[in-house]
Amino acid sequence: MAPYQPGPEHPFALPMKPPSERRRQRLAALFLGGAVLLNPPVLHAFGTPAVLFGLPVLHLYVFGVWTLLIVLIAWLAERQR
Amino acid sequence: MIPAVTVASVSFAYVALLFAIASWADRRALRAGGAAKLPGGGLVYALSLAVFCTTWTFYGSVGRAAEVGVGFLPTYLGPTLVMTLGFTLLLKLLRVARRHRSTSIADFIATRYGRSPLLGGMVALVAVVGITPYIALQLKAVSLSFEALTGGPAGTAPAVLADTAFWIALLMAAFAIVFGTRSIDASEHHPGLMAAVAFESIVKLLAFLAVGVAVVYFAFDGPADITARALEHPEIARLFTAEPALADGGWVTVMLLSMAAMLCLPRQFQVLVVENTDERHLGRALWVFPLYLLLINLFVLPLAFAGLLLLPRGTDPDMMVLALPMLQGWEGLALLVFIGGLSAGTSMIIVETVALATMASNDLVLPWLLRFRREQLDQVRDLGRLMLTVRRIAIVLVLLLGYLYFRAAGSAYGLVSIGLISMAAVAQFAPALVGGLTWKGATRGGAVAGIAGGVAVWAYTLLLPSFARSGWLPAEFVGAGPWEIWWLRPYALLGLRGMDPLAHSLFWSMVVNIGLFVAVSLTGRVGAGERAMAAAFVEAYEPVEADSGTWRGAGTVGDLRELLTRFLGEERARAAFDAPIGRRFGAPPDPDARADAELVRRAERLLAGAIGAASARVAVASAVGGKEVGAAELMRMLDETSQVIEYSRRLEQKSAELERATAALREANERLRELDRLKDDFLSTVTHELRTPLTSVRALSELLHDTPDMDLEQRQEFLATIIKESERLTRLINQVLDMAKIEAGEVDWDIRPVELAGAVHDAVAGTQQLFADKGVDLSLDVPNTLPRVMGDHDRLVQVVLNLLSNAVKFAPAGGRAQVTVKPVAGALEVAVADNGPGIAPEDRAAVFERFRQVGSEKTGKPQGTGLGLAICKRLVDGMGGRIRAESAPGGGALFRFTVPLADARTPVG
Repeated sequence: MAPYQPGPEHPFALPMKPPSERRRQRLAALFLGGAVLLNPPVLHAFGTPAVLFGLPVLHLYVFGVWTLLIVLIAWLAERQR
Repeated sequence: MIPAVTVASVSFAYVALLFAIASWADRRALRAGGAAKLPGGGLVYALSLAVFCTTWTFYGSVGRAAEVGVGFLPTYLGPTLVMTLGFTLLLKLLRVARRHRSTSIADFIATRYGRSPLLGGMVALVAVVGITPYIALQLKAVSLSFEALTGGPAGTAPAVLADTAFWIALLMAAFAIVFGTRSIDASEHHPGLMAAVAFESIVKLLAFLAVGVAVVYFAFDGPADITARALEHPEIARLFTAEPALADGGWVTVMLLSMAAMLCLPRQFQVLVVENTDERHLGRALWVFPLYLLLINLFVLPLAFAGLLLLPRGTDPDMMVLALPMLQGWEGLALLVFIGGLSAGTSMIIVETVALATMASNDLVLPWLLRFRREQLDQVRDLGRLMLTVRRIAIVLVLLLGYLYFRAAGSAYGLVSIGLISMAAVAQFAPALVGGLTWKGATRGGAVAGIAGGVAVWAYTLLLPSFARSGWLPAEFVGAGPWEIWWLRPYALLGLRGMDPLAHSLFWSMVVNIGLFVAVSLTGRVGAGERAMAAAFVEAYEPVEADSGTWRGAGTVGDLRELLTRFLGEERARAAFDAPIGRRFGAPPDPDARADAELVRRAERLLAGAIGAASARVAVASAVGGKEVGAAELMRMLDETSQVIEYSRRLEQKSAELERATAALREANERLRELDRLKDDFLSTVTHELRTPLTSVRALSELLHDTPDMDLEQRQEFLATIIKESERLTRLINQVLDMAKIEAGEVDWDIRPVELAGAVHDAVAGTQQLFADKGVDLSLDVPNTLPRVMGDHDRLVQVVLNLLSNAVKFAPAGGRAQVTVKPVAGALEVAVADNGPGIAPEDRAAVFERFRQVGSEKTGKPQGTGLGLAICKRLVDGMGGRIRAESAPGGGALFRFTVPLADARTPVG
């Protein structure tokens, strides 16, 4: 029995080749890194009332890590396409 | 203050613009031949994901930041982290949902667990109940911002018809109906809807950035200025540290919650999964969406500090975003902010109500109709229209429900708290959803138990206390627990303290949810259909098409066609059903033909896209009239088949064995016959050989007996003959006995190093007389120095003797024979040749067999017992040598045999 294929009369999401195991794992590894850097024990370390470049250190840190995370995701997701 | 008329007309103008955009995108998609592709690659898709940012983000973030500093952020860090699972989890989710044409998260979960209508209905019900406060929250925010902008009487609810929120709700219902329920096929995309949502995402981002930049750079002298001034106030500087954000453990809770919400909120599932037109768009969205989240939150902290510094105490922190530009007298900017908030609210309301209405119609109303109102349903000709009507009514009802909640309970809570209650409700779907995609062992029982248990705990620890705060339940319910049982207090269940109510509720509900999910999954029984679905979901990257159960029924093509027409309409049924069948069979389908399994399956898929997988299964089952091939039956059929295969395999094996045995038997029989014949030959030979000497002995003895006066010379001659014949007899009998002994293995070997030359000379000496009698010339070629061999001297003599008597027997009178001894590799070889008739090549192996006498018409039957060579072979074999017959140069027979050297390593001489 042939598997059902959405015909042209059903505009449906086009399948794409699943990214390689390595790429998937690299991206998922960011999850672990982000989860560690953006959660309490580490946050406490940066939770001083100090100010750097005129901005609170904690705020700089959180937004910095967040930006880095997005850049890395973009790099991994857009590469080799 | 801005006049209410202005604000209202700008709002309506904005909503009108949304209608225009959506309508434009819909028409554009229609022109593109139904291929509902959105422009801008994955950008529109990524922006539509930003429906995640509701008024909760737009107004609530600043309010929360003013209380807990960075503590508002985990709501956005969580989804960012979910994006890192894009290729592991999200892509799988997209793929599976597409393959099964899922219309909503309820449909998806129901499909995963064996198309369970119970599970679908449960999820839909929980979603509607849990999300209603969230919709109320949007209406509340819009209403609050309207009042803040126009200076209306905050806190006193206006009459319904004078209430902005009411009109917004009605408008949104209209929008959702027009652009969200255009087609019965809910798994198809709504390009107009998505275009409008993406546009609203841009508007709310720009509005927020505008107010942020204006306040930070015009009201203040940049962010450093705000920081410096905030440092002067200890209660504001406190927000620079991690303490307020991390104090009550809310950080981790909210992050986990937002991660679950990212997948489980009906509107997120709608935009992320159902509205996805191209899987490749996901790659773009993975980073654009977190970037959007970062940008919209960039100015939250500075705005919160600015609000705390500038605004009078007592200002609603949730309205700071609007109050700041108003304070500065920037009315245009304030209006823009209001529009941004309106965007955030309306986009959420639109997508959420469409998603909820789809769920309600496909997973609540239709299963109910199919089950309890079958007769009435059968009379409806156009079921598609009916379903659309149900969906439209559901949209209106959901919005009205949200409005009612807002009117009744909206004032008791801040924006953020209401949103978190909703998120905690839908987070209960997360174990079943994620577990269903990653764990094949997850079962329907586990999912039902987990969701039911989790939702029950959620209701007890969050929903009921919220009722208590709204005054619908006595306040002691929260403080002292029901009936003053301390360990039942909703905020400190079993005495668990030290957590904020949300973390507390999430902890207990997840303990119960995941615990039941895993425990019931591990202990319960799983049907074959469910198992097949589990594999199809978990192994989505493998290119296998699994389906739970196939159909066998008595339905006809016409039945199916009619069912599709009733749900999808004539036109779509023709396009989706007739045309492909025509292509397959090369003719329009015969309505009376029996529908085969593939057709039924195709119809079910088409229906699933419209009314959900669980309902589609029931509907098709009713139309085809057949019953699904149950799991048990399937297993039984499979069992029978494999048994038959096993039996047939065994049968084949047996027959092959039998054939082999027959062949062996036949061979043995042949051999026996041959042996029997040989025995007969042997007996006749032996008796003949025995009779000849016996006859002559007897005849001569009688002569001697009857002739007493025989002269001495004659008598001596007769006696000599008698002795000779007796010797011949003895020899013959000895040979037979020898052979018997060898055959029986009773020979006493005396093997030791011996001189081969000695044995040869002894044998030659023993046969000299024979040669002389027949006049055969015997020549010897035996070297003087030969290494010793391992052998039995007497047996060696016997072998050579046998060969020599053979030679003299076959050599013609006056012929010649030769004995040669020479060393070969590791042995000595003795060759005995004659110039007799020789042995034909085909007989050379046979001459060594017992009782085998080689002869031909020409040579006649040779004399002897036929045992001499057989004995030779057995003796040579017994001493570890080899013997063979060849053709001698000159035509005679040549026998060679070897005897191993006594010391092969150091040959003597």
